[in-house]
Amino acid sequence: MSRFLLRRLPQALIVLFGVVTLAFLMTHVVPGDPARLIAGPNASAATVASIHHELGLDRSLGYQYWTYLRQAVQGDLGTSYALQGTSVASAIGHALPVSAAVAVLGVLWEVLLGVPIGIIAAYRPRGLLDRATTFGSLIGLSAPPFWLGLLLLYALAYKSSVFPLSGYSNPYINYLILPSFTLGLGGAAWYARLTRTNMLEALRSPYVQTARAKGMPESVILLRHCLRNVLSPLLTMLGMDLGYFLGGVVVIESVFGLPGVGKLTFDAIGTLDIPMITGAVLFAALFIVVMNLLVDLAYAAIDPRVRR
Amino acid sequence: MSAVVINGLAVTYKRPGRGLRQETFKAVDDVSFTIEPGRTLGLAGESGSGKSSVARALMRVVEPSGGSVLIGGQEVTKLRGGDLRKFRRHMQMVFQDPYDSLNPRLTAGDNIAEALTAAGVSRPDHTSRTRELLDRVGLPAAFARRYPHQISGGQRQRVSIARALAVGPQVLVCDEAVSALDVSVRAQILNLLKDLQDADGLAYLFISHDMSTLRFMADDIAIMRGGRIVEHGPSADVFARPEHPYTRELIAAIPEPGAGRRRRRTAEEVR
Amino acid sequence: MTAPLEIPQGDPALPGFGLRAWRSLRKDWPALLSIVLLVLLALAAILAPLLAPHPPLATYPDGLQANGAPVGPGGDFPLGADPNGRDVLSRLLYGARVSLVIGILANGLATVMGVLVGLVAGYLGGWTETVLMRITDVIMSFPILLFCIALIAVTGPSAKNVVFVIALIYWTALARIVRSLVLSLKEREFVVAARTLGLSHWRIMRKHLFPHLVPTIIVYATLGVASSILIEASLSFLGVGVPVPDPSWGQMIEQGKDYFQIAPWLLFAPGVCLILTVLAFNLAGDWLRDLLDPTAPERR
Repeated sequence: MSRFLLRRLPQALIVLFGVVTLAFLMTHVVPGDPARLIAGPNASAATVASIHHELGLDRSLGYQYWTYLRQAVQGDLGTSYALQGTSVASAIGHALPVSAAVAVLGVLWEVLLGVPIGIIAAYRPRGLLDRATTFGSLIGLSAPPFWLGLLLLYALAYKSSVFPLSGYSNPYINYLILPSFTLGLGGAAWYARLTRTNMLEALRSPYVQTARAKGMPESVILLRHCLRNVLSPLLTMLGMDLGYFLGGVVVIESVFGLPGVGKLTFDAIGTLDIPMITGAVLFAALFIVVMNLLVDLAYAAIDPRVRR
Repeated sequence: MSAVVINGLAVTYKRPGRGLRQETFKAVDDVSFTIEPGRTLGLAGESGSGKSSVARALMRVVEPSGGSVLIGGQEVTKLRGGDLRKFRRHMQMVFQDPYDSLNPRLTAGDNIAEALTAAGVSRPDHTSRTRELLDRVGLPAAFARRYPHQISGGQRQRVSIARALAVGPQVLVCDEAVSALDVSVRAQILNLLKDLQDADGLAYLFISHDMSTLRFMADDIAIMRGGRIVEHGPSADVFARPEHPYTRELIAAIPEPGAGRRRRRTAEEVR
Repeated sequence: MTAPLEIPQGDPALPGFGLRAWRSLRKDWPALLSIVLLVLLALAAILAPLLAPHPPLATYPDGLQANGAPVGPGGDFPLGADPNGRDVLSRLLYGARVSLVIGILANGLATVMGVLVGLVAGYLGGWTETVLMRITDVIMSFPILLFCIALIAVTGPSAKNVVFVIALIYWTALARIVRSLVLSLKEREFVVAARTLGLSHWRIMRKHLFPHLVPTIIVYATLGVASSILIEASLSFLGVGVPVPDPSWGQMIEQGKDYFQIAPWLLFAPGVCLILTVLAFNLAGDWLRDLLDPTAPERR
């Protein structure tokens, strides 16, 4: 196990380094001039130049990169251009709880909806229920999430005022249910498919045949023997989704007007707030890298073959 | 000049060991032999003895970790990139698995044409050259249009031989080339190989775990065990007066028609 | 040792493939329906100028009611009008062009990149492989949509940039799949044989490796179009996709979202078009997988 960690950790660090580099390059080879945007359209060339100097944009790209890297390692992602005086790290810190709440609830919905549907579908393969859930999950995969969100808003917030239309205030949970449900609905389709495939595989295996021959009740076979087979692929997907959602889900946050990390990035892009864009993208990617690492480690803990 | 001179050949495989270290495994250790043009060296040994690794190192499919390989006087282990690619036509190989050694998505003719391309034969001449090569290995020209899955194992092996001959090699490595074939087909292929050797003066490195095949094919025999050659000499001597106990074991294991019970007893006596 | 012979029935290069494809299609009605739908969609996109009752950019005063709300479906506007008084049906037809062209172009480009990277990395191995696969890991670590938005914000929204940005992020999954296929393929004897013949790397990749990847590539390319169309719609919905006023389905939903209380058709029409198109590509891809490459892993 420690051997696996020893090999996997440097790999994750290299990827992380690549992520920082790419995020930096992506936003610093911008054709637009953020200094001009800050100074406003009527500012003199001298003002723009002084802002340039203030932001360090007059230094060489290599120097800027080195500075950024050095500060990023210490958790300092710079200061926002648009929200003067706000550090990028603290802005992300404020937005994170919202994204995290949506993410955790979203993953919960995925599991709550997807796994039972998958089990039901696997119980009688090619039966009516299986076909219905297969088709339903395909629609879930094919529907754009922003459209699902708007549809839910129309039905549950406008036609019948079960939930608030948009925004985020106390009681927060009311504002979180619809967005997380929307998020979970699309993903649930994947969980249903995954559960179904792995359940069917387990149902065909010799040990299930033996259990059947011994006269074990079908429900026990399904829940105790087969579901175990689903756990590790499920765990993988769960970790990946969580990492992905934590970085902010732009579309969902935009539809429901939630002040999460996705919204923060999206707004930053409108104002060419480069430190904010870089920081948020970096932050989102960081979650994905870390979750992937954790998933790999969990996998190695469960299945010794993975360690090689 | 000898067709093949191998001196102190070593092949080492790496695999992950404890922590970040790598464990090494010596598959071939200090192997030396020569093969003259028109002669056959039979290489025998159980699976895992390193005989395939010798073949693959000679072919430069795996990198040897030490020693030297001279093909027609040219040091092969030092060749790199384009030089190696150009030199490859001097040594060719017939593979073990007739089901896998031809590209299943190309016809037999196109499989041979790939070799002609490698040898720099111009495209308009491909059809006539392919026909000649098929004729040499005893297949009708119509086979050029068939896909590998449409012909038998023995026929596929003939196509493989034709492909190897297409580039005009001096050395032909046969790595268990007939082991997957039926006994009757096997004899036909062995005879074909002998005829081709007589005609072209090819040097053969003939690898097999089957001693009766080697007795038929080889002028010299080398016995490998655990990556080393344990016995090496003219075929007649090795079969008549095996020195190493392992060689005696291998020879004793040859089934002889109608003599099964007697041979098995001899095998026990030898041990 | 004996590897099973290549399953010839899944090979589009072998004779009789068309017949086999048709037979399996007749048994699989969702796939049949999907392909019919895709053909109709392609026709609608191509014939949009003939089919559309109005020019897609023209604004009509009678498309709006006295209070400024768009008029509903019926009469002169079969699917209603949008908040600018434009005909929704005409915009849908022209929007089909955008969705299909961007989806197919972006994914085509991504497929070419993915195959090249996976093929070169898997075949050459060594440092080339390490570098290429680490780059793949890095790109895969970015959240897709966030990455696209940031890139487009930097390069400026245009149909061309949308295509490049989607391609730039979508090649990674295929690259990984192709690499793992090549890793096992290059140990096959016929590939080793091609090497010992002294064929060039390029020729080995082109003639001896690539043809064996084709079934898998076709499957993933088909499924990938579905994802690309969804991403394009999301980008347009967020206002960083195809620039206004050219219609795209995602952008139509975006323009309708503030009016959905009084004009829900503004959401339904483009949304249904999107779902059906993406669904059709997904179903067609699943059918192709069953036909060409039953062993292919499920994508995500």
